Amino acid sequence: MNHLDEQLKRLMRLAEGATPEPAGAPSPWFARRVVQQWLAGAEAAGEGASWSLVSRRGLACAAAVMGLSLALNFHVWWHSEPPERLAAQSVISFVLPR
Amino acid sequence: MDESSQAVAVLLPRVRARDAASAEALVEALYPAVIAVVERRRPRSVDAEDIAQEVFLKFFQHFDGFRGGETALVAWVRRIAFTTCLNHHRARKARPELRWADLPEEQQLALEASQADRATPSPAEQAGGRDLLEALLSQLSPKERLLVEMVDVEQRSWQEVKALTGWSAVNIRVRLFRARRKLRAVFAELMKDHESP
Repeated sequence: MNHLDEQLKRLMRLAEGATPEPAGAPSPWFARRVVQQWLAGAEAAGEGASWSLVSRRGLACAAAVMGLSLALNFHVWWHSEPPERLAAQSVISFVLPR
Repeated sequence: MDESSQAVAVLLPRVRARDAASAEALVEALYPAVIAVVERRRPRSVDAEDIAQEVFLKFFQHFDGFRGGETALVAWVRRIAFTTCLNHHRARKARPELRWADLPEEQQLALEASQADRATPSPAEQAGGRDLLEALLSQLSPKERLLVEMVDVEQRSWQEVKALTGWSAVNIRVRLFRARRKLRAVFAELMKDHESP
């Protein structure tokens, strides 16, 4: 096993000699390209946020309208005649000849 | 605080205000730190500058949440570079089992040259050795391979590895132990394959 470790170490030493030195400077326009991409992305995300704001407002509006309509229905039902009477009236108007 | 640190410190608030020229200057200031990590950690099939670009985009996306000075900034961007390379390794498909007969000739020669342990191996032998080691390391998980590269191949200190990866010392030790065991097994299998008639 030690012999194998030694062989592996030698291979690692050999390979390490072939590792290229990293480039010091970026290619021309690299920084500009990155920054423009970032700013464009940030702008798009901002637009996305405004769309989500509109949709949230729309949802709130729809919820308010639904609440109002429920309240109105309840109000109408409360002030209408009792249900037994309404049922009797509909039976009479349906069964008896006019 | 030296001159470059002061320059970076001046740039930070301007970049937060989305000043393009300052952001470009910051990219140029941080580029050597990023490319030094990317060049060594990237998969060979992916271009270093493409990864560097990805690193800087991630850096800017999370920049508003960063609070710290120039030193912390460099450590942070180096860690982003490391994580991005790790993700690129994860995205690659698993390599098939390594066999002596499947190795290209230059890798076989490199292995023989490494066993001869000459003081000045030729560039071709070194390149072959690099490819062979790459093939061996590809049998490990991405985290394991990067650890072996840093500790065993490049002889980095534990402090450096901890700073770059953000992993605990125990975590590094356990992973490295498993990685070495796995690598030794793969290498032993390859050598057995080579020695058997």
